Amino acid sequence: MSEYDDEPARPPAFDRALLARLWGFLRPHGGVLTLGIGTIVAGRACDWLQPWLFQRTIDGPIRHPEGDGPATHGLVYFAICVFGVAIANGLLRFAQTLVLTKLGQATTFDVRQALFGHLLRLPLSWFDRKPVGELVTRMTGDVENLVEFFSTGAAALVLDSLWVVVLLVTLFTMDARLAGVALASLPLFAFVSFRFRERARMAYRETRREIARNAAFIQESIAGVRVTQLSVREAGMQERFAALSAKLRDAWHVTVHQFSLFFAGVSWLTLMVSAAVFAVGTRFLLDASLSTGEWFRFWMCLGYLFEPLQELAERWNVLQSALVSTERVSRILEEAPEPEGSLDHHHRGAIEFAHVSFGYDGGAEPVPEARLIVQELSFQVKAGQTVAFVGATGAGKTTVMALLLALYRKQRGAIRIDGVELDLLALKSLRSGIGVVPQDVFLFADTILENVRLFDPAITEEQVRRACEAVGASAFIERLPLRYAAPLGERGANLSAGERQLLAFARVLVRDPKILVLDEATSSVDTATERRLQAAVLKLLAGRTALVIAHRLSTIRRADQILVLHHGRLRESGTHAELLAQSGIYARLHELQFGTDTTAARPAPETPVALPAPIPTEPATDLPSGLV
Amino acid sequence: MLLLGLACLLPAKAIDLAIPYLFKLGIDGATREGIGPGHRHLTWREELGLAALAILIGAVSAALSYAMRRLLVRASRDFERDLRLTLHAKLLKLPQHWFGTTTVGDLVSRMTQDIEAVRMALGPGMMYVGNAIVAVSGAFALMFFMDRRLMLWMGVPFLVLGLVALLMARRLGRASDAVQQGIGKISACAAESFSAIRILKVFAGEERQHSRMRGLSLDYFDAQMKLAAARGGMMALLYAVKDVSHFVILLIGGMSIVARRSTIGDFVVYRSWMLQCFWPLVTFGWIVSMVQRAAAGMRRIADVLETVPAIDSPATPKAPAIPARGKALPIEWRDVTVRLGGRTVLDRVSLEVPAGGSLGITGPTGSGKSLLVQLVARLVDPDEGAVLVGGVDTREWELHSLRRAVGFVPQEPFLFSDLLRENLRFARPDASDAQGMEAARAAGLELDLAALAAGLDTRVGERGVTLSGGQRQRATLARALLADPPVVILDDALSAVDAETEARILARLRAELEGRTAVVVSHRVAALAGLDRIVVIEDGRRVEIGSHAELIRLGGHYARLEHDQRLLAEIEAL
Repeated sequence: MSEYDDEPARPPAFDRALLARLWGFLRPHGGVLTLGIGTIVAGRACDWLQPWLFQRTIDGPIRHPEGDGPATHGLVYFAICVFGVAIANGLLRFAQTLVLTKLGQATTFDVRQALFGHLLRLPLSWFDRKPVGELVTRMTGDVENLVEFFSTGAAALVLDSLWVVVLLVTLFTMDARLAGVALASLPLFAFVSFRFRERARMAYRETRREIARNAAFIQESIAGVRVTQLSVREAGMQERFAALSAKLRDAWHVTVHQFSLFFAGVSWLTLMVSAAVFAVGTRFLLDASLSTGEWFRFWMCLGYLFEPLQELAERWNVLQSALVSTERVSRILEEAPEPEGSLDHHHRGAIEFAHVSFGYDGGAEPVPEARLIVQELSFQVKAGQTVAFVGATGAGKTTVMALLLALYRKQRGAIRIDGVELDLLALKSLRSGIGVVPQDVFLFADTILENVRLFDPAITEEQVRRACEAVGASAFIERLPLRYAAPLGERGANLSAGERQLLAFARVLVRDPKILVLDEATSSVDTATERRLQAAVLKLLAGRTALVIAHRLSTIRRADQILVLHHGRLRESGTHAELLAQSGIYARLHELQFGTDTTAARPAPETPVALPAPIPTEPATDLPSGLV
Repeated sequence: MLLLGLACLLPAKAIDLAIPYLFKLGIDGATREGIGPGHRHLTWREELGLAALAILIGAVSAALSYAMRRLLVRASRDFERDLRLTLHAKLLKLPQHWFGTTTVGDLVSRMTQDIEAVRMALGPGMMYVGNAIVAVSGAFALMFFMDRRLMLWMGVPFLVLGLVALLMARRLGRASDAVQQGIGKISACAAESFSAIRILKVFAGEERQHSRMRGLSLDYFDAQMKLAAARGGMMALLYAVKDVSHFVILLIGGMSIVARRSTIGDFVVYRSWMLQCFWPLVTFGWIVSMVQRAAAGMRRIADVLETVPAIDSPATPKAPAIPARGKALPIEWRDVTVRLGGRTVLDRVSLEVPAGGSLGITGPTGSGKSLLVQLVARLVDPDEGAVLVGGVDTREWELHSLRRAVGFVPQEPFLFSDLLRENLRFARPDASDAQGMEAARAAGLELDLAALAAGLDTRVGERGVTLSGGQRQRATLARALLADPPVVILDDALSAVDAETEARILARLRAELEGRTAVVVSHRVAALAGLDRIVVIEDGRRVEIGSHAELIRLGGHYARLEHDQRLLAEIEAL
């Protein structure tokens, strides 16, 4: 049942490209790395010194107090040395924690920035296929995995191995016979330690699968509690959960058993090695071929030897999960960013679509005819004109706007602004010259000020204030206790639909673009707000080229040109009066949306009326919804 | 189990403290510094005996500590499971509106993280505390007997360590909270950016968002460095204390040796004991924060456990047992008023459906039509008035009997991540495949089933096949029909199905609904037209009622709806 296994089946260990990339992350922080290694080495030196000082003390002033000076002089001298080393070691540990944390954080700061920056440049069609949660995990979980590796894994893995070697060399220079005993035990120790930990890890892996199953069940049981209650299946669900959680408990019991065995086993093994060294050591003490001080130093060093060996397996895991995360991050970094031209262009406002066809197909070509959302679309807009797009939901209106903004790339035909091919323009220049009011306004979890200027520090608070006044948003903003500093909740839950619209208008006005893309909201608002919205729309349209997905009769009537889209094709075009006279699609849509003069009890024509829900076709298509 | 586990702790620790003493005897017996009454050098055979004894009692200690760890942690895992089962059973009992006040994510975290926090304190927490107490008191008691002066001096660094660990615990806690918040903000900003990727691109705001992320990452960096400073301070202290204890042993112990009051072997013993006290103390700060977390977790768990379900069976239910197949139940809404959050959602609505009859409900979004049918299955209770099913107030029914009698198909089609078969027979686990297929046919699901390679054995949901909204709606309809209830309620249950399929399903459903009472909530005239009576709800009030023909003649809301939908169909056909 690998489906619940969150560990990859085979970790990409020792992929040279991956290791190279890991090193690439680390290289710019070589200075910090060196410093970190320095503190570790110095700390180990302290650890190394301590036993040596003990040896000197025991073989010196303690065993031969009859030496020169008062008996305790030498002892105090060495004790002060030990104290000094103790303080130095403390300070070094402090420095080590700081430096290694800095190394890990600074490195992953770069990785996070690079990753985020790259993600933001990827095309929209890429995002359509990726759940937000997965991307967030790349930014958090995977990057954190690297932190652990950089701050505790990388250097420690190498240095711990070195430390073991240094200790062994020390032991051998002190007494080769005794060191032989210790060395002989090492493979056994390493083997048992590794083996036990591996088993514990396997058991834990099994447990993690059960944890995932339990979590999935809990999640679903709560999400579907209504179905359970309506179907009177509470007892059944509880039974299933009891079985699942019993499996989890049993898995835990195995894990606990393995880990308990590991801890008990390793501590007993440590004791056995110690006892062996002790027994052999006493023999050399008895025949005086080893001094008491030497023996004591040996005894202390032996203790240091076990620690890194126990952690070796752990460090190995850290390295592996770091490699897995590196691979995931690399895969994103290798994705091609949005294509764009290099031309910086200041729009004057003329727009032309020539035989444009488009279908959402993840960029694959050619898109089958049946999946084309826009087909052979051609139209021209002169600078300063207002064009209203009319059509039932799914007719392709929103897609036209997305194509103009190069959110998606057309498959055939040409789109030009002021006669310049869209593909030649730099994206920033193209998009910042077009103001967009989406139907569903996304509000960031930040202040009103930031939501209007969208975190652009070049826009002053005064400008924001003026824009809000111009669109009539200041009235409700001034009523808020914090005014422009008022925080907006996630998705702006604390603002009404009308107020959110006004903010979206202010967003555009504050940038004063030459081209406006307006997707009028269909949500109904009270008449006072409606009047304010209409006045604001007038302000927005003035002096701009505007493409409007219109739902308000007032907007449609004012348009210089109305384009009627039907199933992705341009079916009718002209002014309001011309189109009504044709009594084609437009005439019927008009009747549907605003009624005929003869039908009584209609809503006031100035209130936007949502088209009745279109009849959805099946299977549900995975079209991205809305313009923004 | 818990007590037994703790009981293992004492002998295990006693042995751990005794082993260094064996080594001490051996060392003293092998060096000329070893002193004592009747002192002599031990033979190597004797030394080997000491080593063997150490290994032997070490094995006993290892076995005991294995048993202790296993018993304690197992007990905590059993406790964890019991608490989780209790909480789950409680959640299954709580009414709909309670779930509206919280989120799935929050409840999941109570069921997992909070319970885990409580368990940690009970299992490993207890073990470490027990360990620390026994080791420290044992070692210091022994030192007291061996060398009082040394014990006092050794006490100083350990006292400092304990106190500072206690003081630092809060600071560490705060610093690690700040780190948690920091990563939370990064995660929220990332989630926001990716959800709003369109608006970022449209406003060419990628760079600004990037610099926002940079700011948050810098804050996070600072928080991490602050935590590192606190943690580093802790580490520094720990290592300093360990090494200062070495200093005490060397100086005080050394002077005792020089004064011939103690021996080299005592060095070995003191150092071992010191290290045995040291490791449990290292975990001290961690335990403090663990207990804090457990307390907070327990509060959040208790919040749920102490909630009294607002909708439950009465002490003495009055209702009839579920009627036999083919025997329908009448439904009556009697002057029903429902208020939600201070707003009157339903305002004195009275309606009746005779046994075996059918009623359509329509009206604008938010008019209260869905609430009207939720009352029948007692997903909510009326604030005033009463809903009667089979002539009995729903509040007097035994809750489970009522819900078995009412087949309710909600608008959002929820399927469990399981086989399609299990989903279909969810409400009636003993149903056969033949019965399942029959229900699938009645719900218009048979073509979908034919298209799925594994048929009823298709796994749906998160790790299986993703069904379309319409398929899921048909599956939920089949699920309700399979339970064979005397009352069937479709709460806008075919909204994602196209009109043609809906008409086909409804035609077939009509036969299936024969002999049942049916209530259908829908926006679509096609779904309502064939029903006995249709009611239009607006702003929580009943505004129109009558048969399809009557309402068309009336020329009101329903007639407009019919006109618009006809027109839209015409436009589509152009």
